[in-house]
This record gives sequence, structure tokens and C-alpha cells, in this order.
Amino acid sequence: MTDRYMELTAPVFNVQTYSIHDGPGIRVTVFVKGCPLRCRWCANPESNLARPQLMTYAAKCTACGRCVAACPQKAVSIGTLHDKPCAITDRELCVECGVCVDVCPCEAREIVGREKTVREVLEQVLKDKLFIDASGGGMTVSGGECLAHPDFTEALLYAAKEQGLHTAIESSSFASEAVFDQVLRYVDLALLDIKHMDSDIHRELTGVPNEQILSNIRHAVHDLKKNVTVRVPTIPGYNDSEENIRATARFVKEELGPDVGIHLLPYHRLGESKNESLGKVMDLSVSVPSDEHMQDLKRIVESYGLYCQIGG
Amino acid sequence: MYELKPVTDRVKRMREKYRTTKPEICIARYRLVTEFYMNNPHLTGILKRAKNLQNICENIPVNIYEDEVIVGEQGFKYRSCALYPETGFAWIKSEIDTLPTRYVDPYDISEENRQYILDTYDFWLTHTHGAQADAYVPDFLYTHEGNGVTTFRSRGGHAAPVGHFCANHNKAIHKGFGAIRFEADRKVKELEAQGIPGTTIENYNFYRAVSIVCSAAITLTKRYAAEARRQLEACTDPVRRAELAMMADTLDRVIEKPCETFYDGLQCLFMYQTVLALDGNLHGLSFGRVDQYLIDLYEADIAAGRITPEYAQELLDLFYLKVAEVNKVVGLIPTESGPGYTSGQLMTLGGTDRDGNDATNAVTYMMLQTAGRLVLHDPPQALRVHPGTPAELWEAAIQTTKISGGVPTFENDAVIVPALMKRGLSAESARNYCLIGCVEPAGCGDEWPACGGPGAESYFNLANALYLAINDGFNPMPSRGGPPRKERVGLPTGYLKDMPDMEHVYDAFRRQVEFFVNLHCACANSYEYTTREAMPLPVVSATIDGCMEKGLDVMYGGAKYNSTGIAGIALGNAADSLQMIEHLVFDRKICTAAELQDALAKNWEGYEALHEYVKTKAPHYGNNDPEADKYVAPITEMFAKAVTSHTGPRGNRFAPGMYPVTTNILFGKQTPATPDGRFRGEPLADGISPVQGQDRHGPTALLSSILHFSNQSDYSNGTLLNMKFDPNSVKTEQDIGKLATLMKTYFANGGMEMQINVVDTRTMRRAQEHPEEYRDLVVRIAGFSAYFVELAPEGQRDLISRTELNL
Repeated sequence: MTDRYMELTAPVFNVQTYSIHDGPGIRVTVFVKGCPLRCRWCANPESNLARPQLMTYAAKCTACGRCVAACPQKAVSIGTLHDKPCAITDRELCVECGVCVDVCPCEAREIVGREKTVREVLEQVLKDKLFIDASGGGMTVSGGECLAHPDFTEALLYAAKEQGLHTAIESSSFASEAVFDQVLRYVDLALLDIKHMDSDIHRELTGVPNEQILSNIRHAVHDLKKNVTVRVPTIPGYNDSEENIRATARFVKEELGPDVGIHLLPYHRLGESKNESLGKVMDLSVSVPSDEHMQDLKRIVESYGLYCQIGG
Repeated sequence: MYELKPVTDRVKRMREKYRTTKPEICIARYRLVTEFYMNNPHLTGILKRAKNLQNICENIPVNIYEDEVIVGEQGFKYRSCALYPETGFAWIKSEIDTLPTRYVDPYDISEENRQYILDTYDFWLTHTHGAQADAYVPDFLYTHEGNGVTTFRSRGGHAAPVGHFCANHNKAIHKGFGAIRFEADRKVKELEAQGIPGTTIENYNFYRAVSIVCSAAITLTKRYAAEARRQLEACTDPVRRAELAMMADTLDRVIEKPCETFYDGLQCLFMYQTVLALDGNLHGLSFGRVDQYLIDLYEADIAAGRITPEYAQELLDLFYLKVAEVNKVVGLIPTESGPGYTSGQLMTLGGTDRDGNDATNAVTYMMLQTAGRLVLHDPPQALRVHPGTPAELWEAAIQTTKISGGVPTFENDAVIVPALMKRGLSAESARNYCLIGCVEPAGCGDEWPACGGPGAESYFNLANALYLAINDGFNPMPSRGGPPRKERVGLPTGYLKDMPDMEHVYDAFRRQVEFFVNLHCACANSYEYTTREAMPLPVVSATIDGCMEKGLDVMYGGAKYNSTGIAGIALGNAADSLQMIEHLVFDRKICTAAELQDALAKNWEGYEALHEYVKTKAPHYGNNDPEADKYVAPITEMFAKAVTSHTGPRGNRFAPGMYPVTTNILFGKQTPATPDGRFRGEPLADGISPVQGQDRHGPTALLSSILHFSNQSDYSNGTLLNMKFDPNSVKTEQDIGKLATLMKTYFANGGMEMQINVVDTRTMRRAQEHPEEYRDLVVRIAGFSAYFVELAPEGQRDLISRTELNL
């Protein structure tokens, strides 16, 4: 590679420091925007589309009306949300030009996602090198889906490794094997989701089947010899049945090997807030799983002789 | 996983009693002191103070309450509060009627006691130390009243005693006041035999005074022994009888003789503290290295089968509850800045021994256990950490801080020990340091550190120094309730609108800082001159290393080491403001100097767009942006240099710190709008932290920014850094390990102190109300990131209820 890889770009919506649940040590997690899946429980719905999007934060809005006056589309009006006056954006009219963001005095409006170069992102990551090195941490690329930006992600991982950083991705594994190979080349740890073992249900819940995903995960372990951890976002009523958890654990044990651990990530409802900020309604109504239920599932996984932890 | 064991039923009862008893003013001490001062106008100096204490110890009520094992009281009933009229008393007359009903820390007072205070009030107007200070302090110092930079008070406002030190409790425990009295008496006889030659009359009187106060302390303790025996005779419960017998035996021995058991040690600690307070001083009285004093006694008890770990833990619980019970009543304004009936009796734990070996022991863990299971914010605790601190201790401490909200604080030996050595302590003494008051490092029993200055608190508002620098030395804000001064209170350094470049701005700031440090030190030294005349402290001097050897009271420089503290505040506002002036006026030319000056004068009114830009778009300290942080190093270096260049009356150097306690609120009210976007009267930044809500890139960026601080080991009077974490980031053992690594990394790179506040539901609710102040609060869950204030109200409520469930 020449240095031109440093100028590759992808839409990035957050570079989060002190990430402590996405791999070993203290990490910086880079969230790229755009994802081929549409998981119904998605916690980061602002990462679905690759393009920049307007997010509004009702809790910060003081209904001052500046955005109403400024909007060239006349898409904003003062209404009521959560029992208080609030600027409401008509998403049919809004073209996400960002004029309202510039005039908002309370940072209640934001355009999320911006094309960033590998160089730019890496510079941000390296600001935390002190803490990364001291903790045995590194950089994690999350999303959205990093496999949706293979050139950028590969370059970023390569550049990070050049700087001596431990690298990880957090991914759905949904991509062609060629793309998967390309991205995983410079990955030290792959945190790969298995959302359901039944492909039909998987398609129903996420919009895509799981054959390619499972095949890629097997490939990562056996052919690419990568350090893999399987992550199961645990969504009550959708994929938390004993049957599915057993099927997942069996798959991991029999097809990946007993050294691959499982993280059970309990569903949390915070994605709902983000949906509201995007002017969407979440098509999911579940409550968070109880600690006891999570412990039960953990014991099931452990009964297969696998390492299991709740949370990242 | 760290575990808290349940408390005993007795401790539960005592804790409940502590929490439900409204403190009351007791005039027992007040009456004794008033009568003594009225009847003994001929006595002066150290002998007056010694005999005053003797009178108190012989006559103060002696109480042992139900369930108590650790005893000692300054008043006539549980949670009653003594008064100390000798130091300063002016506030009480105007506030006495509102004391029982005031909104922070109310105190009951009986009609009879109220009347006695009012009847005798006039006597104290001319006999307090504050009155003497008023009469003495040179006039030129008062011409700068109302400056809003220093805390030196107006006439009639002097109230605080000299405090903020750690007596040599180890000597009290392991040597005893019988032996100290023996030495003092021997010295008296020696000097008499020599004809009290030359200038030794001072030493002679010092030894006489020490002998008197040793007897006084022993007398008081034996009165408690007698009370225990009296109760024993009346008691029929065999368990309590055994306990009362043990108490009588211990109270007959301790204070006078060396302690023999763990219980002896705890009782001796508390009794000495009680005597120190009765002598007229409950002001940042710190206990020092409690785990180090007690470990030998504890291990001997365990080895001999005299005590079970469970009973020892219960005794420690009772000791903490006893310390928490102690109150100190002060006027409304100082109470507002430090509410919660706290008396600042800080304890230190952990660290190394004098040779640098890890000193963690069983009592260290017991202290954390007690703090965690009692869930008390008082007494405060400071944990010393160093590279050899065991991982289990880190875990226990972080678990404790999760429960007890910021207790313990974490103190970095690797920075503090060299800081104290620069101040003059030997390596051995420095390694044996303890923390005083809040975060102030000092020698443990061998230094007179006066961390809070000699009396009036020693805070220094850097933000107002900057404002005066660009406003020709005028402060438009009222000071301590009074109207603003029309006269210039600082140096005539000109106005921002006339300053051609940043060099002029910074130079004006530097001159104001140097001027006010000078002013402050002149005040402090004048004040200490009157303090030592009026309030020498023979009970402290009896134990602190150096005093008995030199025959001098601590107030006269008797201690082996000496210092005088001063604490800068509002570093965040000063650093941000300088940087903002440069950014707005000289670099980006977003506004003119005249416009910014006008905006500040008008509290940003009419400059909303500019204000918005400053608050939301311009760079700020705290985000690991070297450009935004560029003034942190020069300010901290310059302030430290200015402070350490001054000498105190005991031949010591002044020692700089950077911590506000809560004066950032009080001082904020005296500070006009500042270029960092702060409105007039708003609180200033906390400790060495950035301006509230302006650090937006998480803890690693915040710490990296703070490491731009010049050199924290130049700040031997301590720095303070409060870090907030959301509960999701300190849930699991793995999370706690990562937090420990974060702290260790900060410490390995020059950080001095840190305290962790796991955000509680109250804070989250406040964040809902004031999102602009909590922009930095990140919710951390695997694969998810969001700012708390950006969540919809339901999401916020969800997190709040989950937090409630977890605790």
C-alpha cells in the first residue's frame, strides 16, 4: 500500500474514547455509518444509512423557535413532545440541510455522520495512546457495519497496526467472503454477532438470512485463524429462547471450537431515544431482560463448556 | 467480587440514631470558657490556654450513651455541638434566632442557652481572637477589600481558628501523655535549676503548659472511666456489663499510658481528638494514618485471641459513627459552601511505610469496609496509592467509592512524596505523609502545615484576577453581601479594549496574580502574628515532633516541619478565558476587544450570538486539544512560583494548592461574567477540572488535558480532580479494573489526586433539568454510545430507574 490509503474515507458518526466494553483494555471505538441489516432492536439506528442525518434532542430543546424561522423548507414548527413545548421536524419536508443546526443555541439539533479520512480518524485514536498502551487496549471499528466500507476499514486497521495498536471489529459478518477476508486481514479480535440460528427468523428480525454470516464466522476461525468472540444481542421474545441460545452455543462449540467465547448483550431500550431523534418510531416493544434471566442463559452457555459473559 | 458484610444490630441502631438526631447547640464549653476568661483577665498566652483547657476537662459534662463503646463528647447530649468563642464569634448574634430553622444544617438551641449567649456576647466582641486580628491587621490591607480574588475577610469577619493539621496521634497511642508530662516536668525542673537562663523563659512556659494539658487530658479520660464504672454498677445485662468493665479498664489507662489493645487505640484516637477540639479547634482536624497506628494493636489482639475480626470491625464502625457525630457550627455563608454537618476529620489509609514498602494492612481493608457498609460521607477518607498498591485494595476502594460517593479519594504517592520533599520534608517523613482537611498533603505528626492558612481560609480566585487584569483593577461585583467597591481593588493594569496583543493580556494577568499573592501572604502573616499570641496550641504541641525538643509551641515554629497553604481556584475558567480572548479577539477576530469587554460588562446581554459561539462552537480546555489547553501550563507554573516565593512567619515557604472545596460557588457570586462564557455570579470550575460541561470527549481526553498542568508536584498543598462516571461503566470487575488502569495511567504521568463520583440518580435528575451542565455524561454500554442529555425523557427515566435498582 502507498500512503494514499490514508486518504480513504467513510462516513463516521462517532469516535468514542474510553470504550471499555468492546474488546480488551481501554479502547477507542470508531463507529462507521451505513449497515445492510435492519435489526428491529437496533441500538444505533443513526448508523443504518450511510448518508449524514439530522438528529434532534427533545430533552435539550427550549422551543425558542430559531430553527422554525431558519428552515428553508418550512419543515420545523413548535409543537408538544413529552408534555413540553418542543421544535418538531416534519421529516417529509426536511432535506437535512443543517441550517437549523447552525442556529440552534442549545445543541438540540445535530447532523450526524461525516466523511472522514483514515488519517483523520487515526489521529483522533492516537490521542488516547497513553491510555491504550497502559491498559492493553486498542482500537475497535464498530458501526453501522464496517464490512460495508471494506477499503476504508482495511486501511484504518492497517494504519492502526502500523502504530502498534491492537485492533478489533464489531460486525454482523454479513458480506461476501472476499470482502470479509479483506477486512479481517488486519484484525486481532473479531467480535461477531449471531442474532439468531434459524435463518428464516434471522431474516425476519434483521432483513437478511444467516447462512453467509455463519459461514464467514467459521471461515474466520478455521481458515483465517482469527481470535473470535461471538456476541448475542439478547432480545426478550425474539432470540432469547432456551432453544436458540442452546443452538447458538452448540454452533460455537461444535463448529467454531471450545476456545471461542460468547458475550450475551442484554437488550436495552436506549435505541428508542435515538429513533425518536431521527423522527422514527421503533417497531419493537419489549422490556429489558431481567438479571436472573440473563444469568440463566449464561449458565446454559456455560453448560457447553464455553466461556460466557453478560455484557461486553 | 468485593463484598460488604452486614452491620450488627447495635451499629444499625447507632446509625439510625445518628441520622435522626437533630444537632443542638450546647453551651457547656462556652460557659466554662466565658467564665474562665472573665475571671482570669490577668492570664495571657500559652498558660492561659493551658489552664483554660484544664478547667474544661475538669468540668465539662461526661456522658456515655446507650450502646456506646467508643466515648467522648464536647457537649451535654448526643450530637450536641460546642461553641468556640475564643476564635471568632461575631456571626452568632445575627444568626442565633435563625439557627434552628435555617435551610442548611439547622441546630436547635434552648431558650436558656440562647439567652446566656446573648447576655455574654458583648464580652467576646473584644476578647475573641478575631477582634484582636481586626485591631492589629495593618490598614493598607483593607484598601483591597472586596477584590473577589483573596478570601481575607472584612473587619469583624474573622472567625476561623488555625486548623488543618494532623497531631501526632501515633505518639498519643504508643507513648501516652503520662510520659510526655514526665518529660515536660523534667524540662521545667532543669530550666529552674539553671535559673531559666537567657531566652528560655518561652521554653519554660511552654513546658509548664504542656504539663498542664497532659494532666487535663488524663483527668478527662479518667472521668469517663469513673462514669463507665458508675454505669457498670447499675447495669444488669451481662453482655453490657462486660463491655462497661472493658471500657472502664481502658479509660483508666489510655491517654495516660501506651495503648495495649485495638480498642485502646480507637478510644485513645477519639479521646485525643476530643481534647484537641475542646481546646478550641475543630477545623480540618485530621486523624492521619489510622491503619498504620492501629495495625500492631490489632494483630496482637488477634494473635492473643483477645478479639474476633467481627468485633474489631464493629468497634471500627462505632468509632466512625462517633467521629461523624461531631459537629461544628458556623455561620450561614460558610455552611452553604460546605453543608452536611461535616467537620472534615479526614483519615488516611494505605500508602507506603517510611522506607517506601507497601503499607497496606488488615486495618486498611477494615476502614474501607466500614466506610462502605455504613454509607456515610463523613468521616472523609483518603487512600494513598503507589505502584505497589495491591489490586485487591484498588478494587475495594473503587467499590467503596461507588457506594459512598467519592470516599475514599485517591492520592498518588509518586507525585506527593517528591512534592513534600521539595517543601523540605525528609524522604522518610514525606513517605509517611497523610492528607489534611480535603486533599492537602502534610507530614503525619511532624509538620505544622497550616494547609488552610493561619485562620481565615486561604483561597485564591484566578478567574477574578483575570477579570481585574482586563478591567483596570475594578471589581463590579459585591463581596460577601456588601455593595461593590467603587474604588479600585487591584492593580491598574488597563482595559482589555486597549490591549494590543495577547502578551499584554497575559502580562496584566500575571501582575494581578503576583500582586494578590503578595497581598494574601501579607494578610496571612499579619493574621498569624495575632493568632499565635491569642491561640497557642499546647495540646497539639505536646505530640507533634519537634515541639518538645525545641520547647516551642507549633504556632511559634516548634514543629519539625512548617508550611502555610494557599489554594488556587477556577483554573478552568482562567485557562479557558485567556484562550478565548486570544481565539476571539486576536486569532480569529470574531469580535473586537472592546466588544468582548462590553459583553462581559453587560453579562453577555445583547451579545447572545457571541455567547452562543463561545459556549457551543469555540474550543475549550478539557478536550485534549493542545491549542485550547495552552494556558494551563503557564498559569499553573506562574501561580506556583508566585506562591512559593513567599515566606511565612515560621520561616516556612508558602505552599500552593489547587482545590476549591465548594468555594467555587461562593467565589462565583463575586465574579463577573468571564470570557469562557460564564455568566455573572455562576459557579466557577471545580478543582483542576475544565469549565462545567465543556469537556466533551470522555475521561481519557479530560485527563490528557489536565496533564498539561505544569507540574503537580509543585503543588504540595494538593490538587483536586473530581471525575464523574455513569454507573454502567463501573459495573463489573472488568470495568473496575479498567477504571483502576485509567487512574494509574493518570498517576503515572503526573496526576496527584482523583476522586470518583459514580453518577447517582440525583445527578441524573439534575442533568435532565440542566442539560447544558452535563453535556459530558456518556452512557457506556457495549456497542452503544450516547450522551445522557441527548436521550429522550423516557430513555433518561429508564436509566435512572435502572441506576436505582443497582444500588
